[in-house]
Amino acid sequence: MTAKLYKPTFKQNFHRNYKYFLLFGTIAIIGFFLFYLYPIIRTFILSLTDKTIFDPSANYVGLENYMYALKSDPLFARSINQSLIFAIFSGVFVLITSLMLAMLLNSKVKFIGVFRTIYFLPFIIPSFAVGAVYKNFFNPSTGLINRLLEFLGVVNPPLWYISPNSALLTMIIISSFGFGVKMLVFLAALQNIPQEYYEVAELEGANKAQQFFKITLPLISPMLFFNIILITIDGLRSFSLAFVMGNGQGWPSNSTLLFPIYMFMTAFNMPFRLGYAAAMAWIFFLIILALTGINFLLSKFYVQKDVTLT
Amino acid sequence: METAIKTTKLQRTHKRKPRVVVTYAMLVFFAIVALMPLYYLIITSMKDLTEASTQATMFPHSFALFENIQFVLSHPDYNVIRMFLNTMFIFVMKTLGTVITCSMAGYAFAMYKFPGKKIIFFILLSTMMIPGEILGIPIYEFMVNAGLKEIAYIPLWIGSWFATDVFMIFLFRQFFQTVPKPLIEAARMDGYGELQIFFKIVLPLNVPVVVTVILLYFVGTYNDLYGPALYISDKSNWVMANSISIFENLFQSGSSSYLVPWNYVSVASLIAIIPVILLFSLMQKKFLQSVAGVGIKG
Repeated sequence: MTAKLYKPTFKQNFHRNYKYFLLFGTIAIIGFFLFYLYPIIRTFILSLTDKTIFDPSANYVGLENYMYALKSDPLFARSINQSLIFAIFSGVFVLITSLMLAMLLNSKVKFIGVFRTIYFLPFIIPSFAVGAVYKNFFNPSTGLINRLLEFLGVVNPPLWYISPNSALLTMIIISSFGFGVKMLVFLAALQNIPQEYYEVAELEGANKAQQFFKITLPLISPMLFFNIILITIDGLRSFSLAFVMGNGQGWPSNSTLLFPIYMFMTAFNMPFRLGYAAAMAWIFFLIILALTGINFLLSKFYVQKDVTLT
Repeated sequence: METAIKTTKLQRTHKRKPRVVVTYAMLVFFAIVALMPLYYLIITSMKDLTEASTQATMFPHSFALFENIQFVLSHPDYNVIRMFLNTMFIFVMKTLGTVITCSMAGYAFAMYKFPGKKIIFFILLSTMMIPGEILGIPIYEFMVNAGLKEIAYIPLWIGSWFATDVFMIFLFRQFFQTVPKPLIEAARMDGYGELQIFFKIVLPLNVPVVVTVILLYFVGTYNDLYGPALYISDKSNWVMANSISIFENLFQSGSSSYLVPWNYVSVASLIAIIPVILLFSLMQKKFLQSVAGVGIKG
């Protein structure tokens, strides 16, 4: 009631709000300049030089690094290729599994809480520990998978991560277990859909597939968009799993060499070619920007307008 | 009208029976798939060296759990308490920084209206698309030149004190938007300052988000191989992520270099997992609440 006695004018209000915003938000703005803007600009400057870490003098080389990466570095092309393949396939797998599991976990049956906990377990087990388990699973001579395949009568089971032909595939299969958080995001979205929609649909004779495509999918489309962006970037940036599976260097014979691994090797192993790595990072950045842009454009077709994320 | 509703309800429960069975079958199937790695880790840790490194039995024929634990714990490089404490130090510094600075930033965007705020928020959110690869080199360069590379793990946590985790800013903002405005007005009337309102009223009301940060960061710190590979060279500074590779590469120099002692690897992995599982089971209720909340409040 006392609030009515004093009503600040628009100008006062504006000043007050602005001041308080700065009180709480300044640190984030400083962080943006120090940890995002400065590094991006600095990386670009470095990319125009031949700098290595212990060499104080760096020569300006123009776009030479970019030219070299795009034209004459087979490993760069290969690592980008493999990162794209990995991101697309593991992304599709993760998207499908996380949506499917979320729908399963959304069913109204007893003990669903227990299942939710169990399904979340693969996420909390650290990937370096999981990597070891899967290496054991997929071991061609002693692993469980090939034992099962032999039992089923497969004569020449694949060599999985040992062979350059199947190492990337093995990694894609393993990575589809990384559904944890995306599954929860979908689950949250599914739980927001009023149950009545389905009841009406059922009364009108819509089958399950129709219900899925006409009700579920449109209503969770903002979360779908959010998850696709997260999954694409996660896939392209995937480091830990590839580091464990490929012993930190894309083993065997560069078949698991994802871009982040190759960049890591170039920049932070001898001879620390920061300049060249910076150029590669910028190309990579532009690729991610392009893909995100495409996703934004495509989202116009599949994201329902009246359901908003924020 | 009423009878019509009743019959459809009846029909539905009748029709649902087989569907429930199918649902359970699928739930159980995927539960088995999800539990498989953990199960395999546990049984492998029980096997002796020969069985573990040459056979993939689903039920162990040998039982050498205690010998394995003893071997792992007595390995000279495996200083587990130290590695754990090192990891915890990084985790605490990162989490504290993020909880304090990101929550403040989230509050700034949730509470105060002024022209241009949306643009600032959009610019900040768009940094989520920036890959760490493009940011890492200058930061590494700076840390090496400033001599901070291996002092108290500074490179691994300093960013957290500048609200650089934009996703968390977004998460905090989502939650703070639902704090009732009259509550804040009332506190102002009582003479609370803005900072006091935030730390004494708003933040305590949003414990689930803080729990989420703690949990995600715990797993994240554990999972991070990039940071330690880049910034840790000294053995005494090793973190839990390093603990597995000690045993994976145990025989790498010997004649049987292809052999991996999976039993020791599994024991080390299990030891590394225990704290995560403990923390998760303690906090999972609040955590699931808050993730569900993102949707509800979104």
